[in-house]
Amino acid sequence: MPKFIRNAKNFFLFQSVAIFLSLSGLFYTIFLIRYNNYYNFYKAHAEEDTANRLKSLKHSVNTIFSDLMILSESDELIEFSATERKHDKLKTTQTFLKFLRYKNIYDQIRYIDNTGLEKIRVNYNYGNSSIIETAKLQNKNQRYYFKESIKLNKNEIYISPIDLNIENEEIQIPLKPMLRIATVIFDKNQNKRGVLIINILADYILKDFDSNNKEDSDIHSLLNAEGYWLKSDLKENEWGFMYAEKKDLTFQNRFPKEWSEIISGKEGTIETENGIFVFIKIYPVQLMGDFSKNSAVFNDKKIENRLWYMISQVPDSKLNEKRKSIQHELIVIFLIVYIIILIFNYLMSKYKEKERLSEEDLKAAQLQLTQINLTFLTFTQNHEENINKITALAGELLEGVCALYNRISEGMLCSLGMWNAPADYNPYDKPDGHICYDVIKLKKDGVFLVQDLQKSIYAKTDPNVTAYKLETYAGHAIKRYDETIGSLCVVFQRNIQLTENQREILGILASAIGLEEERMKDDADLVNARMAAENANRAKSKFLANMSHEIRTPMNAIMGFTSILFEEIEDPEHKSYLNSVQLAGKTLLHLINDILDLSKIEAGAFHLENKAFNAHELFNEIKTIFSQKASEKNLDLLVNIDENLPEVIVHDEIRLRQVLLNLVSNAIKFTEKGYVRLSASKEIFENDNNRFNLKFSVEDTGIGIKEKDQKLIFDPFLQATDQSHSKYGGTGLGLSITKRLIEIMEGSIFLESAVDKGSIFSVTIKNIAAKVFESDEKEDKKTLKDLVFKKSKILIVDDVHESRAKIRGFLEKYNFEIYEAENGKEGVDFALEFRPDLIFIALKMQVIEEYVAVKILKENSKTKLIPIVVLIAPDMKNDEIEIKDICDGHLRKPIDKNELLKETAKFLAHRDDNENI
Amino acid sequence: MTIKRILFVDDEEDIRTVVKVSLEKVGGFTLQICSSGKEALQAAPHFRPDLLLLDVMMPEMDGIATLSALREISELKEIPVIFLTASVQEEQVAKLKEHGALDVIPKPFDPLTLPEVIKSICE
Repeated sequence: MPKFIRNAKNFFLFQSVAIFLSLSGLFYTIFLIRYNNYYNFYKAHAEEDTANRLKSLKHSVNTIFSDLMILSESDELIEFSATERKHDKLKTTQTFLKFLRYKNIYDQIRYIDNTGLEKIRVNYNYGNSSIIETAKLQNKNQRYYFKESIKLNKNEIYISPIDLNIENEEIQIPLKPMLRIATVIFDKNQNKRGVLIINILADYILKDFDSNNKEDSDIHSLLNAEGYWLKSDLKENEWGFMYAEKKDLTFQNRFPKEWSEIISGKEGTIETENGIFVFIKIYPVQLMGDFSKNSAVFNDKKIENRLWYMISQVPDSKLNEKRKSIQHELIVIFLIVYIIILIFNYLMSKYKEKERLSEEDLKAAQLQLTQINLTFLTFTQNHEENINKITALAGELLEGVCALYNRISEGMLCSLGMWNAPADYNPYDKPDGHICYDVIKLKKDGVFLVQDLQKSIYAKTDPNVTAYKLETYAGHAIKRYDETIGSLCVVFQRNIQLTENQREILGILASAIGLEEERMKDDADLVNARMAAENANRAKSKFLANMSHEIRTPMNAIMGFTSILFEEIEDPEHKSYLNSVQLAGKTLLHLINDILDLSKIEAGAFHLENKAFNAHELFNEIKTIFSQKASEKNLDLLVNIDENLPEVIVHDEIRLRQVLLNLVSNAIKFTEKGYVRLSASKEIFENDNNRFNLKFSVEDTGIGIKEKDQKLIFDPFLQATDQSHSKYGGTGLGLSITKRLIEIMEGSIFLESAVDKGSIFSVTIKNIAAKVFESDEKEDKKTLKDLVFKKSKILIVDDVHESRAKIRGFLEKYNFEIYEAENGKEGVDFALEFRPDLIFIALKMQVIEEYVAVKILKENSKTKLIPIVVLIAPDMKNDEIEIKDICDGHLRKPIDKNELLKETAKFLAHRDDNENI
Repeated sequence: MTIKRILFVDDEEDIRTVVKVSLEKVGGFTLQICSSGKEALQAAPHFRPDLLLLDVMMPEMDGIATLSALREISELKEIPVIFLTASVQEEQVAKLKEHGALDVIPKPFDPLTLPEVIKSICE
């Protein structure tokens, strides 16, 4: 379908024109068919009617001919013609009179002898019969009808032209059309005695040409040989030949073309613009049928003079009328059909348009939903940015001039999301009068649509309406949880009506902003809660640190003086008292340490310091620490170390020692006989030889733990129910801290215990690095002392004098020129000026100057190849990776001499022992 | 290094007493005891210590400030220092070492073994 027809209006017009043309063609065809049918019907009807009239005429003519012959052969007349006796005359006259009365179609019957004298004359004159006296009888020997008829032979008939009767030399009024027929009378001896003449009222014949049927609008005419009307639709046209002034009233003059065809043919149908003409050329004597064979044969000329033309005309007026009638009828039907089709077409167009619009709406809605989803996918944690995206999407999808997300904040109306806002738009304003404020204040549900803004109250109250010539406002309230906090609106500079789809989109986007607001609030609440928790934690940590400090100081005095007194006092009893004070002090100190550890763990401030150390040595050290105590209790302290366990592993040695100390200490404390066994082994990974799980267990044959207490003992301050505090002491924090430490190490602890049989604490610490440093470390320790460096320049950048001095102290015995800088700027200046071979730069949290210095040095072509080793402050935990990326190496403070030398050796030329540089 | 003269600064009188007994009686060191940083600054030039033994948390001038001020004295620029503190958290210890401490001795300490600890650190 061409594009322009897709428009419903164009489609309707196109279809209307097409239907009009098609219907016109169809109706024209129908018109032609119907008109032709009528035309042919009229023609056939005229022809049939003409045939019928001819038949009727034949019958009339035959009647009068037979009447003539009957009378001519009557005995009375024959006798009279011969004798001329009165008696015979009387009889003949009586016969004539009876005949006239009986027939009622004749006007006069006469017998004229061969001299031309009237012998008998009987008039009928429309029923007033009269016998003309002998005295009044005339001699007609000069009359044309006598002259012609007296010439006839036996059984021959004379027929006169039809004309009007003339009386006393004038046309008889009223007009009396008259036809005369005559035949000769022979006596018994076959002597011609005279002629019998019958005057026939021609109306008898002409009646066949009257229009009997009023509905028959055909014109039936009878013409004489000259073309004068004997019978016409117009009376004034008739008998033209009888009047001198009507000599021109002929068919020929009226229808010359038709006349020329009529006179040249015998019968036929002529179709002209004047109508249909059905004609028959009639010779009256030929109408006589059986009589005709006896009829007189006139010469041709005379016959031609006696002929009639019978014409039936279907007039053009009738055809035109019919044509118009059909036209009118068809036009009415055409219009009705066309209007019905137009209405149907219009409805179809509407339906199709609606269908098309529905499809387009559906497609548009799908596209818009896709666009919304794609926008949602781009959302980040930046909720304000997300809100701006949603606002922009609302403006674009609703095709407004501007879209805003307004929220009431601290009593002001603030535009937090803006799309296409004019440069001079004021995003902060007092809320009163603004449409948005009404949406918020009135908590409008659904879309709030205001049209004709310029005529509305808002033209006076909302400054934006007049300033930006707004006509339509489409807004939607924004709810954060159940609270209405703002409105999303799209404005237009023309009056528009939102579609259902657009309303839904506005609703969806308003909900999306509501969700963003909820998330923003949740985030803020979370941040506040986190800050509150962190503040609380900091306060707790600070409190505990302070408490620790405050307790340790007097504890120091107590334990210090106790210790000094213990040396001074000799009395064993007093010594035992002091011992108790000392023990109580140690317990209190232990408790303080445990509380500090637990507090740090719970605050998440506990970090592992993983370094390579000798695990075998650690386990043996534990044995050493507790061997005396075990011996005092007569216990066997066994340490079983799997020989496959790597000697050097990488982990937090201090915390691992703390765990072992706790577990072994507990085992010895709660075991009165038997043994305590510390076992250590490794669990290897299938695909990684460098990593393994460290497994160790502490097994004792002590009092054991009831099943119901086995879970409780890992909770802070909880001890087994039957554990005698007075007997065993303890803070109840040891196992809790142990479990938490193991969890921080990504490990797990598992307890198996039976009362009076003993307990086994099994620990697994996962994913420990092994072997990597084992040989290197040993090698390092052996060789670092023997390093001989080539003379090089080293720059130390650190704001702490002691730190610089410490590094200088570690390096000064080597062949270096050492320079110092107190800050980043000084360091950069120095490096650019003197180009050192190696730079150590100390980095601290929240001090960016040194970071900038590193960046400058690495971007400057003069210094970018100088290796930089950053010195990381002890409290910097998570920035290591980023620092590694921008520098050549790093060391964590406090600086270890060996590590410092190792790092230096990476970048500066040196030799080992006798090796040449 | 041989340590004979120790300048000890602590605001707690009890601790000063314990340390005095410990280092003088048990350890045999010559001790200058001060109760504040300011006092130490006055005493130090005359006393000429081999080692500074400093408390950390003190009013007005804490241990680090006292050390920095003492190091301003030319004779004490390179003097070794050991901190004696009740704040035993790792970050605090590291920070003190960063400021040049040979080591950090946590409180409470055993007065009977304190001299030996100091000697072993200084060795």
